[in-house]
Amino acid sequence: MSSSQQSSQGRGATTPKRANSSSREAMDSSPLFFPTSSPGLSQHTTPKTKTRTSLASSPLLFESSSPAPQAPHSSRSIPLSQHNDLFLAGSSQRTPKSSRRGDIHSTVQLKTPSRREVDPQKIGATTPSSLIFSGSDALTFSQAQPTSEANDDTVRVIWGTNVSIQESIASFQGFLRGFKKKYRPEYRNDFMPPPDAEQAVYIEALRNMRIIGLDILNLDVQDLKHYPPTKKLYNQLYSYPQEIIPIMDQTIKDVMLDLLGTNPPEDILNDIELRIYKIRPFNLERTINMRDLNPGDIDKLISIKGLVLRCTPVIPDMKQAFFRCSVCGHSVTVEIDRGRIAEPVKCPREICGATNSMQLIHNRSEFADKQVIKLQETPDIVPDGQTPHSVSLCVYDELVDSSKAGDRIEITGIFRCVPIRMNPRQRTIKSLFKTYVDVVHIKKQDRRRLGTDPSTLDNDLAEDTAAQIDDVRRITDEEVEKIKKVSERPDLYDLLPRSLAPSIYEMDDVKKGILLQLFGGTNKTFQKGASPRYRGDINILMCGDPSTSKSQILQYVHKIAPRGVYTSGKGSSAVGLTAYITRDQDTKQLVLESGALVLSDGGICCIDEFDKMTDATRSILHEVMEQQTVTVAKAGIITTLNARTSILASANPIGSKYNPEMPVTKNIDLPPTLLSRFDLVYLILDRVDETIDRKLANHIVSMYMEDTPQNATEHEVLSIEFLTSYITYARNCIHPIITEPASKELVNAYVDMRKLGEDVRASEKRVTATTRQLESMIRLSEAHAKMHLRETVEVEDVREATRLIKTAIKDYATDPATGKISLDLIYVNERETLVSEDMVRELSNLISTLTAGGKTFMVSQLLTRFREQSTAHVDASEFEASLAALEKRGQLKVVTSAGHRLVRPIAQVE
Amino acid sequence: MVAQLSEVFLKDPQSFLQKIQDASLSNPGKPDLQGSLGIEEAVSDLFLNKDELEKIPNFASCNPNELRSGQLLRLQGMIQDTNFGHEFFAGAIKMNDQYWRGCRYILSCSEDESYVDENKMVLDERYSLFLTNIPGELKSNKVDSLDSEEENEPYKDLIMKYSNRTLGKEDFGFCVKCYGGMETRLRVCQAVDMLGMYEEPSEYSDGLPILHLITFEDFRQPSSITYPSEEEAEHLRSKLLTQFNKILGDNVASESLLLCLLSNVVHRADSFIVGSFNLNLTNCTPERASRIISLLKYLTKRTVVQKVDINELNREPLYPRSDGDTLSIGRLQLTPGTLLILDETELSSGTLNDTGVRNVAFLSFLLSQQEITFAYPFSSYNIQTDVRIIVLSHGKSILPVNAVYTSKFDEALMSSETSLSSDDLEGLSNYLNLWTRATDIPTDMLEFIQSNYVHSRRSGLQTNEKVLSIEINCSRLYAKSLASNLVSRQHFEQASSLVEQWTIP
Repeated sequence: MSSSQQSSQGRGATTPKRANSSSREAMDSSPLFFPTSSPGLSQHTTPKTKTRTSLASSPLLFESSSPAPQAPHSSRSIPLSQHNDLFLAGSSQRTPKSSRRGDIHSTVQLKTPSRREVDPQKIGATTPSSLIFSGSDALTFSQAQPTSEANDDTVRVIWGTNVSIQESIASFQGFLRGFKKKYRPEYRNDFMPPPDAEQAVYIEALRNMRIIGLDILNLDVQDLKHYPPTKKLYNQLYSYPQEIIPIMDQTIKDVMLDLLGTNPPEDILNDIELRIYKIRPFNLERTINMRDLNPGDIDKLISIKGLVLRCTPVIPDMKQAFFRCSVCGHSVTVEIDRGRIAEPVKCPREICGATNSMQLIHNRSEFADKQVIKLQETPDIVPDGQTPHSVSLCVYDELVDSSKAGDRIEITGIFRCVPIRMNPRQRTIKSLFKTYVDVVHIKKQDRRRLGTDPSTLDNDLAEDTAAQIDDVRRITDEEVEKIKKVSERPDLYDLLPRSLAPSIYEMDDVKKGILLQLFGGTNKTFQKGASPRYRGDINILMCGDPSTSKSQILQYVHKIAPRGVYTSGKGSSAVGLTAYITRDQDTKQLVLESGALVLSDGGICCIDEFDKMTDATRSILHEVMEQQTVTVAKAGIITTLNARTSILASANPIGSKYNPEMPVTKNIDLPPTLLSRFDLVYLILDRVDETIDRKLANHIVSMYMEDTPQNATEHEVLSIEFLTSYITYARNCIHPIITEPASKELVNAYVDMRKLGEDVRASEKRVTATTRQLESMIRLSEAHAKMHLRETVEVEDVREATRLIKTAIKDYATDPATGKISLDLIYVNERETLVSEDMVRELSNLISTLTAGGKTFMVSQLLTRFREQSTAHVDASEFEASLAALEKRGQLKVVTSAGHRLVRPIAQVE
Repeated sequence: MVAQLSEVFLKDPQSFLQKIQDASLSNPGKPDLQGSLGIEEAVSDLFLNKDELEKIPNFASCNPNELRSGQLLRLQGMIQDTNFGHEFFAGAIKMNDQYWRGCRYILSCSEDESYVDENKMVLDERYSLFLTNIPGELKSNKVDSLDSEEENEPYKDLIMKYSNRTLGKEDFGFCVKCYGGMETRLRVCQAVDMLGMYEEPSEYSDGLPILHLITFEDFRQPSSITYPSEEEAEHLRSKLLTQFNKILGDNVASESLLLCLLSNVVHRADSFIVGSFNLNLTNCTPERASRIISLLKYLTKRTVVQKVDINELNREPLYPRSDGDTLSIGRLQLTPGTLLILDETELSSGTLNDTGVRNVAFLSFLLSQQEITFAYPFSSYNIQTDVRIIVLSHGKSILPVNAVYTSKFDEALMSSETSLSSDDLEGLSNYLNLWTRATDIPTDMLEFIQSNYVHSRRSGLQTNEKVLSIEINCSRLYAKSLASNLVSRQHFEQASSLVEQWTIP
């Protein structure tokens, strides 16, 4: 920004006011400049200006320009008058701490805004139709005649604009008092109970501000637009923000004082009068892409979104300079005017009159906080094939440090441009203009990443108010209409999976599962109970033969998922997944760097080749997949990071090809504890089937046929962009709640699922479903409801969720030996459950013949006999497992006698 | 008429452009400075007229010290960054309160125009790009005089600021200014042939020379190509295979290499890249690799060789990255059409550091997705590309390749005599230009491929989706190597027999 500090003519094309572009030796403290209020510096070089000069910004002139401070204090009915006088009187005596807001470099609210001096030669020539204030006798804020407009036949406007101060004040006052909740467009068609509908939103907000001691009012610009009397004000705010915003600031104070009633306590009155209230407008109709900012946007109110790349340290920005004469000690304060401070060349005291004697006293000058933020386009709005653009933002006062590098923010601000190359020989025609934005409002887009320091109460409260207003607002957009239309289609549940990775053939159920994962369940927090949070993220594991497009699905999901991170199990280490500590190149300090899981917080982490991960790395996932946090204790940094991520993993079976003869756990080399944390486990097998093979070949060939990429699917497919926005919309706006019938259905489905594994004949009961499955069911039903944009979870959602789980379970938890579904196959006690039921039965038969009549039999001999009898080789461990199973069933007992293990049958009660 | 126009244009470009602008601003109202103001349209046919184009000095072959501000210049290079600044400038000024005068491309102005009242000025915007050498392209033997170094001395410190944007010390850096939305048609990493107005470096441009872009052309191919006919192709093909055999000592390896050199990305179906084919030739020693590399460098103009070993991977990022302020070039910021040879022959065991891990991830992504990752703070961007990739290694490569083949390096077939006559060389490099050509699979092949696949599945052959798509792709490439537009059954069978020799990872 250094080059932009010389800035007297930044208004460029929109303000034809400055006739002179001479540069001056002046103290620059900011690249900003004042609005058109005074001709400022030109007084020395051009005789055109009237007697009032840039020195007008000095408080010395207040005496003459503002009305007498002795205006009556009691007449509260005229709100405009007293506090201003009080304030001005006060400010000229004490250190006028924070007497102005940093972002709007206007003198309007403190000085007499009417002191809009105009080059008389220009009146008529350039603005013949509008009558303009001239001279200092025009109306001021301090004048006690709110009706002055009526008295005059003329319409007084700020020079160069169509803004009439009185009209704007009146209009905004009317808005603050009159705006009710029911005027918001989204409530227009809905019925609303009277107390809510009649709530005067902004009066309420002002009251809260006074009670809490806040001086920021977040103004939803859409409210202004939808309140018919302020439609003009809305347009003016958009076109002339730096004139209108100070007027609004002032109006807040007026209304605030008015709200106090007739006899307010003196201290409150003083408090309000000393405060500078600031309006922070937000929610403009549209946010501009930063590469679409063009000369037409200069000095307009704009809104852009982006990613904060870096923030400078706080820069003290001189607002008022204090000079003392080194000869006589006389002191003068000079205010910043259009970004510069005019250093007095001569002591103003007539007796002294020494030249070049004025010295700047730093610690009596007044500074404001300023920070320059570099904002970059977010990846989703960068056009294909372009590198991201960035803009500089200037933030002031309490907005400083409110956003940190890495935040995604949406800002509202004034687009400015300043000329560079300000040397006197510079030709106007060759000067270039650099642009930046003066920020008036920052909204964090991702509230999950809210990074404000809780100790800064003001910020939090201010943000809260912004958030409240935001919460009641529903997004109204063409796209939302389209999304809703699509959501009502009867074939939605076929259309969406079909649109997901259309180049991948078939696998409908897998796609449906992944789709539900993208939508996600609802995250819940419990006030009571042991677990404070209940995860809504759905984890999916795909396990199957090589070259069954698993990696392609992963790549696809990684591309469309919000914060998708793709990693391969083979190349991942525990620290790479979680977080690691490294020394920063620039500062040489230890910093915590996020790994894949932390980076995908709030998104989906795709892990390929899950089976090839080392055990140590996998153990990290236990915490992530249930607690959704990552704990780091290293190099003096002990911290818990959030990793609220869904995991989509793919694994190859042991021996790379799935052996259908073996149970899943033997095929997938994953510990049962981890496997059970997946909501859905899909087996993707490469089966030889002529019809499928033929179709698949057709599908692949057609992809290679040039210029016909669309024949990959004959059916209608949603575009990837639309699918993404559909998912984003549903994730953000839909939070389904489980209805009573749905909860009953959930209970039934759960009981049914548990019953499934119940075998009346077997003495042990096999567990089919666990509570984890119930939780999965809930999440999947919620996701299914979300996909249909429903606010409630219905019975059908539960049914589909159950079906998906069942189809997944059916494939992965079926004991190939018995055909029974058993989750025991995945959990606990592998030794027992992995023995085939046939073997146990055969062994039982053998034992019953051998031990007929209650005889005992040696175990070693039993194994030999058993091996002789069976056609396949019997592993010793399998034999032991079968024996243990029989013992558990109470059919026999293994005893040890004289160093020999003996089998003793237990008499069965027939 | 056209000839006359271009004659005027070449003679005095500034006044020519001034006239066009003034004509489009003749409307007395406040001018609308959107679009090209008719300039690009007026000179667009210039690229078609080779003779005229020849008259314009080309940066590649002229002495930069002789260039003067305001003259036309042709410049070929790669767009390193499309975000090199956005500025507003005086786009039009009102002259004598009567008419508007356009100021684009006008580098000099008379005194009376110098100080204009601001309300008689309309702001226009322009975007800057950073242009540098096309990586891998052989640098032309420029007349390098010692004066040039001294000449640049005053700006040496300034220009240092941009040294991260160029690879070598001798590489050029240009600031290209785009008017009227031209920048939206240019892509980062693109190789372009530009025509514009030169502006000498000054302290305001931080010592960088400036090109005010007037018009441009994509520079994927060195020049306009005439593809060889089918007969010629067959002849050249066998000639080329003989050459390959001399260094590879293996017929299958030579054929495989040829298919790889002819591959290009046809289209992308989400994450599935159709058309690209990366080959891994194993059993290479450093000596064998260097012979292959020198031959390929000889044949294809835009060849980048990257050593893949622990030191090289750990040394510096190969990918372009930004620190938030400026985008640094990476060695593998390649333009589409480049031949990338990854030399893994000296890879040994060791530990990768942070940079190394990121480099491997970048390479894997480039191979599997044909996209170049730009690392930005808090985010990364992928730019689609189309590079042909060959991996030379001792054992199976660590990178995700499409096919692996162990070359036999049969001494009986090999020969140390590999030199080519310049005519042959030209013919062969022209033949390799076939890679850009399109080849289609006729619909009647569909049935054949289907039944073929079903049959081999049923007979229990180790085939799957992946092998099938490689077979289809290679049949396309095979047809291409014979300069055929359509894939025939024979091509498919030939390709299949090749694929059978490979290991598909």
